[in-house]
Amino acid sequence: MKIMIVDDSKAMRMIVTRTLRQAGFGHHTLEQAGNGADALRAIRSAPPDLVLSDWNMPEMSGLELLQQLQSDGPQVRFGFVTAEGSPEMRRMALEAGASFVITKPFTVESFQEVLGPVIS
Amino acid sequence: MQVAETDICEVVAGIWSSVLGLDIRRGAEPAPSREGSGFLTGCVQITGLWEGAVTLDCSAALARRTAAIMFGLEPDAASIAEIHDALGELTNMTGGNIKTLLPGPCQLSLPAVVEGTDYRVIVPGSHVVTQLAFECQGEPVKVTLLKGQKTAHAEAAKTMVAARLGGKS
Repeated sequence: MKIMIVDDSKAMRMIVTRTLRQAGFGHHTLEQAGNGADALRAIRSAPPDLVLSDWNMPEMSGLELLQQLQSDGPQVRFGFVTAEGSPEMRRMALEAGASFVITKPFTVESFQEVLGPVIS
Repeated sequence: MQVAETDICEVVAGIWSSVLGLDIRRGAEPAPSREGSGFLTGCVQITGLWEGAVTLDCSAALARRTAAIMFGLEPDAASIAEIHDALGELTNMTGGNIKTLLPGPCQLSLPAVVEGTDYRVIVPGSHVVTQLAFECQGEPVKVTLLKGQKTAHAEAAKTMVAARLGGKS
């Protein structure tokens, strides 16, 4: 499975990558993008199986990225990994087609619990 | 709308523990001055029903250590760009989690980071509502919640309406 991590913070992309490995998902192919616009270009050229995206990013937000992908056709599973965990944001994310929302800070266990059923 | 200090402490301790594996505790009050030593400040603004900002102050030495942990580097090996990135993300998580304690809907800005030895961070039209000093590995950390004038005026108007309604009943 190919998983794309989208976050404008390089530190956070590294932490998500590390947590995926610690959660037992390190054998999957992990790719990265630094904002929604870069991610959209990469996804359109070679779609991953799962996108893990931050919400708040320069150039194109995670929500705008999801909306663009949905308008292309909902083939890519999409989840948010974000500090924005309010009920309104969760509602907006799920209504836009996200499969899940993981709130930062997260743990290895929360990755296993949420991503386990998605990745398996 | 006042955010409880204990809730902010819980947010900060949770982030520093789960992201960095570091123990952070309430520190000496008042929070140490930035004058004379290297400091960094991260800032995110909150807009929407509640308007204001959250700032995270951290000594340069501790900011370097936290960046090394987040990037998986040797202590003191983090570059300036990595230190700014790491503090920005810590500020984003702190602001994002504090935002969930405020009335919404609200939006969070991208983080900005300031670095220097003698400076003040001013968010025009806002005032400090909560400022908490922490200590981590012997280094000072400070979290500040600022409320914008628009929120203060809206809350004052709401209180006046509530008082009038209360007077009639």
